[in-house]
Amino acid sequence: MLSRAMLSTCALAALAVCSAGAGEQGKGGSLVIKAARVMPVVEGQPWVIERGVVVIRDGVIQAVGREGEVPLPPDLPVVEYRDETVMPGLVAASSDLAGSHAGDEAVAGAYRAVDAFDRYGDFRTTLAGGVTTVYVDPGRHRLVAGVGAVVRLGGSADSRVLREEGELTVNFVESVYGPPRDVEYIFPASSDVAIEPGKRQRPDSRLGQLPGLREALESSLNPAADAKFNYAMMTLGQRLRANAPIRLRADRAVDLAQAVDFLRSRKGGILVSAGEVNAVAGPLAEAKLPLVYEVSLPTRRPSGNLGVNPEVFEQDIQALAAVPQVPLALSVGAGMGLSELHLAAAAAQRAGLSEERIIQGVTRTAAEVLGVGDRVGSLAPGRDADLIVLTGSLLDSRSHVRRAYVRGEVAFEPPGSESLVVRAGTIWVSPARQIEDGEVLVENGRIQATGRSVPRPPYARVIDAGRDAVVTPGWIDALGHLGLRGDAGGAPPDVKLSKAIGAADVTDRRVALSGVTTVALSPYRGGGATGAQMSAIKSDGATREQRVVRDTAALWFDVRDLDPDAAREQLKGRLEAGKKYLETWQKYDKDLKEWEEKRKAGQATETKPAVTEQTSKTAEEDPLTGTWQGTVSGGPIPSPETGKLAVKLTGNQVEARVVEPPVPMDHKIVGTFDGKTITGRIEIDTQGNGFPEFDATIDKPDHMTGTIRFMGITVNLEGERIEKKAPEFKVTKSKTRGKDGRPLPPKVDEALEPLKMLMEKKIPAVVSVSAHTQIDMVLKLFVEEYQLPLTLAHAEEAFIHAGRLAEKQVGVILPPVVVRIQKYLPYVQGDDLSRRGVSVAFQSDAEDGARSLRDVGVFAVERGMSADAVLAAFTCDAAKLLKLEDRVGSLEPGRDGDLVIFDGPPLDAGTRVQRVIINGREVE
Amino acid sequence: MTKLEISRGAGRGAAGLLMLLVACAAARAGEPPAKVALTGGRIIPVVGEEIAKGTLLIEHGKITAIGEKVELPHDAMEVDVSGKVLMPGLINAHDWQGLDVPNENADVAPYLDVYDAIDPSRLFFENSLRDGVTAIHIIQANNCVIGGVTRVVRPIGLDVDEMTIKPRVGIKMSTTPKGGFDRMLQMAMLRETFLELGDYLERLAEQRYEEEQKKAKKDVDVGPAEARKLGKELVRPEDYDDMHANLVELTGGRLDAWIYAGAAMDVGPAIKIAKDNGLLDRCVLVLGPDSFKAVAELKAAGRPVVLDSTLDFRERDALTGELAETFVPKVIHDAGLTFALLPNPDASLAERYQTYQAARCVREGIPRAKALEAITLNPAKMLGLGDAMGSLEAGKTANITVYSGDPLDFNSWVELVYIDGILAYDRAKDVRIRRLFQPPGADEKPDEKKEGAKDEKAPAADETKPGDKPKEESKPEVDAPAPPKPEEKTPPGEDEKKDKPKEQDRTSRGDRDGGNRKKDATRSGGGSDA
Repeated sequence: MLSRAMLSTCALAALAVCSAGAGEQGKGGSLVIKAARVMPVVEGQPWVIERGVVVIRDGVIQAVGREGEVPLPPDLPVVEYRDETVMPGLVAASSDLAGSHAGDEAVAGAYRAVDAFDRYGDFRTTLAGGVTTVYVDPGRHRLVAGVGAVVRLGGSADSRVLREEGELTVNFVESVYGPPRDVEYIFPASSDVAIEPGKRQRPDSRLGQLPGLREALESSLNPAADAKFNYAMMTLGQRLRANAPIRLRADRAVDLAQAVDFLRSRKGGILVSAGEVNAVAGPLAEAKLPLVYEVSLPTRRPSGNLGVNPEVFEQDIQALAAVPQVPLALSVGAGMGLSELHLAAAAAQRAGLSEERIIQGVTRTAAEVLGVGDRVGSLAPGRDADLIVLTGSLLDSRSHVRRAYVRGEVAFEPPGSESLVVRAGTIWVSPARQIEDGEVLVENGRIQATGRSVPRPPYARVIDAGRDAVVTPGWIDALGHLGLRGDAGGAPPDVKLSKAIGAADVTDRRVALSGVTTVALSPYRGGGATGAQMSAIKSDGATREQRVVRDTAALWFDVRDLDPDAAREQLKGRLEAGKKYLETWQKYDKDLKEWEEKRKAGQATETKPAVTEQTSKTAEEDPLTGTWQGTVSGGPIPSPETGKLAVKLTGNQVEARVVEPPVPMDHKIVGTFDGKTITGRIEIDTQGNGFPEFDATIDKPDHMTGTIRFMGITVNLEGERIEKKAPEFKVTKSKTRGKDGRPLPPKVDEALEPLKMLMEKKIPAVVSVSAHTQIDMVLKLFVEEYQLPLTLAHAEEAFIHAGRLAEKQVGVILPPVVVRIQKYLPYVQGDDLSRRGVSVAFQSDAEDGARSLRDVGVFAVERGMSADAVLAAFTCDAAKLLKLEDRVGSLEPGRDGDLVIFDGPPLDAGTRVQRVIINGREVE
Repeated sequence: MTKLEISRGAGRGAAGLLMLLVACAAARAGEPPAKVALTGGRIIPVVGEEIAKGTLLIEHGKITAIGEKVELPHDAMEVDVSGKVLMPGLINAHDWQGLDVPNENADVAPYLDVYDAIDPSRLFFENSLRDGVTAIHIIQANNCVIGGVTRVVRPIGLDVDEMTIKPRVGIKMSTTPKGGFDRMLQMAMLRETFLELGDYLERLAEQRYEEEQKKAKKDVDVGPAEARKLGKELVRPEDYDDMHANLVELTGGRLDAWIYAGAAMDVGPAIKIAKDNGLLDRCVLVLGPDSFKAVAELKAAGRPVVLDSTLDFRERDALTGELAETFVPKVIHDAGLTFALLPNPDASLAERYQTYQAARCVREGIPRAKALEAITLNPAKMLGLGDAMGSLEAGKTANITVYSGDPLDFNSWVELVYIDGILAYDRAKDVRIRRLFQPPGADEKPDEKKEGAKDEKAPAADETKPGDKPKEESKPEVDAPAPPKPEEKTPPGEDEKKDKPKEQDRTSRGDRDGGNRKKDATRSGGGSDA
């Protein structure tokens, strides 16, 4: 019992230790990677696995294969790359990552490149080029510079070194000639021991390099018995005795010949070269010596007049292409960064090296040459999960790395980039412009470029939708109720529906995934002649800010159920109210401008309040001041009503209050008196419908008659003065000027704001009509009388006025029913109107019913409407009708990044919506 | 201020006077009072619970008792430190400021000893004392491959021998490249040094065997390998040459290794070089600003570390340029490692104080006790002095710093510092501080000084009071009544340390400086008059 308890305790402790160790040591990641393409670079495996899967556990690859053919462990998280290519992390078979050591010895085996490798370094800028494994060279400045190392550029510090001590680095290059003298420092310095000048070291020139090397190797293996302690030679001897292979660098034909001879005499080794290998291709092939070939492209700036010779590069590659038996690793040479390895590799294509050999040369073969082929360089079970995720083919210069994994853990990922490039066979920009094999760049949520080839910012995501795919702008539901959640009530004119919109939910996203990205949101009811605001929203987005295109996108009137004449009166009343409101603002703007100009000019802006206090001499002479008994009658008032009013005249300003019966709300009657007539308004809270206005005439002393108008209703007014004593209420004179004479802005009336916007022609009026008489009235009122932007909705009888509509450029939001029977014949209004030059748009008049809008479009096409006209009705024309064309409805630069990717013609019934992008983000 | 009261026994009158005389005589002779009791102060012993109001008894330079109630010997001099806070004297674990030049030119120089380069007259020592530091590990700076032998000293004393607490602590090494070096060369040289040492010892053994054979008039009848084996026991300490003697001490366990790992990548090699040469259990790692990134390796090694004085490490992201900040001691503390905090001599005012460094640790969430250990007990342990200092415990050396308030409060002063039970520093008599707080021109003439002092209300009355202690100072500046804070009552000073030679040296130096300043002040004063 006890022992069992102890055992379990021990096990627990061991487990704790293990897990703690794992945390620190970096056990490696466990996950499943799915990708559009997987390139395993393994012999006997397909070159590319379409829809491939890589299973990784604890940083080691468990399985690679086609999706569906590889069992996926249920416990592992799945990461999907729908557009990307997964391949082994690149292996750079040479680098000067460690720099050159500062030792003086021409021949030294003591220096280890691994000592200079920063295991804690941040190499993400190199990983961004796809390079995960690197050979670190101890330097090319000494004949024998030391030993190299093979390292990883990511992952935990303890896992970064793959080979601590690699080959002995020997250099047959000009930089090794004339090494510094080897000075022996004497301690303690004394007069007995002479300080000798430093010994000269070999080689001074090319002549001495091979003999110097042979001599050094010989003497390190057989040191003199009484020789002083010499660490450099001692370690060299140890390494040679341990059969450390030699890695020999030579760039010139003459050195290469020596090098190949030397390596052949040693029966092995690796040759490193940055040029002129064509001269030794034959012997190289004969000896099957592996070669690390460094490509030097002058990518950063053009090479000088006597710089690298590009012909040599092509000759070399051609010669190497002819000797497939030479294991060839490609690397970058002088002037190129490690992160450009893929570019260097791609350049080898120019000279005819096969794609396979190139890619192997930066992956599997390179790893094998470096002696780490069993760890990295290919995607096979048992190998470390060092792999990269590319946006396209490695040899396509436009491709870039989306992720780099080292031992199954993300070692590089682009910093939060909002860039997205969509490629497709057809980019449908507008009915007039389509691009074959085009691209769209979306950055920070906006379309930046559209064309045959667009810029690819660093770290951009690339979606290649394929040759058959069609990309259109996001579609617009021109009148819908998405997000109202069945709230079928009306909305007063001061309400912005966008306030009810939050983060997108499943319902919204369903609409988004159908391709409808923008909805012109209207309440179910409540338009009437008063008008209700319409908001424009996106069907997806994480916040209200992302979702709202425009809080007030249009002012919607619904006069379908009204008699045209009555409707006209009411509409006109509203428009007038709006006009007046606008005028007060315009006056304010003008005053403000004047004031500012005055102030700028340095003139005194302080104006004394205009003295209007021309109080009448006596109350008796004043025809108004006093208490009046008023009667209102007519209009909708069933029987005349009487009340008492206190009236006060100050100058020409009249102010009055109702005294009897008591009025339960704040009110104020103000007006101006011109000696005979009073015109003014009753300032009461009307829930945003403006103020009732009145005018009255003194027809005989102490008696007046007039009318009160409010929302198209008119009532008669009659009054009689019953007392001439001045009333006691305080006359409040609203201030119109600030302290420094600055004009004060008028009061904002939320209910009139949309009307003001309409009057300013910033938003259109959307008027739902049905009968042609209503259409006629609306056209006359809005377009002819007020010159306002107008869009008709429903408008079943629009065909009667089609000519006028086309002429006045008034569009029609079609009723939800596409095909009607008219005079016993089917009638497609959309087709008819669009053919006659009237812009049309579709509406759902529903919430998530918007997601079947495309089928309505398909049906319209089936009934004869042209596909381009339907597409236009869903995109650019809808945007135009709602004055949203600066934001949506097009793929031109500057618009929102709303795209719909179809796998075929968008209005074919068999076409699927592949993907939807809203504000540059894919809808999931 | 500290109110000195000679213990009031039964026979107060004559006996007290007699004792006073004895005490004075002892003081004049340069002998510290044998027994001192610090009473009434708040005691932070670092090891064990804090005592809100307690007594600490010093006998013959050692702490002998500590507690709320301590029975005092009849002959103990009682010093009332009510309202003050007692802490172990701070320990500076790693500093080259006492040296004339921080680094040696030679890359491998184990034959050096900081003994030869310590300059006792450095202002650094005086400042250290003022900041409450009672032990400093003088070690050469980080720009080396292998440096010389290090030493722990007190901040007082006329010469290095007098200052020395522990003469041979360790040898400085670095895995971060010396200037002009790279890591390949640095590491090759480190490896070479130890390999060469092995080679040297073998040859020395052979040589010794041959010598002994020769002395015994015998032929060398064995091969070199056998001779080396036989000669091993014959090697005597004096046979080692200067180049190797200290290295033999190092590998032989008599010296510790203090290895600088100035970057994260240098930590692994530092641990490896220690491990390969049997130094791992005797090494202290001195870290650079970003070495904390190797915390896993540090944790595995489990060795104490000395942190860089810049406690927050800032780094920009290579891709985004975003600035990230790490508070290094927290990482080290969370890994469970023992660490020491250093003052930063190059920083703005605050970081020069170890107490400030500790306070920052507390602010960042390290327990207060751990932060205090990092400036007292931890460095003591690293230096092999854990049994002798670093905390207030009976039996330990009486190195005590008395603060005016909480030591981690930046408003607190160091009031008194006792080293080996001797009052080594008294803020009331700190000449420099006095000058600093004196109104300009006040020290032109003694008369004027007095007048200036009279302006300050409280002390004037107090100092005119004759007090209950004898006046036997000879230094005029000690007499001068110029307390740093007006509200503090400062009777003219502690007597027991007056005539300590070290103290004399210090104050006389202060006097010298004061004299210089006086001249300056006169000059400037003249200018303003004109």
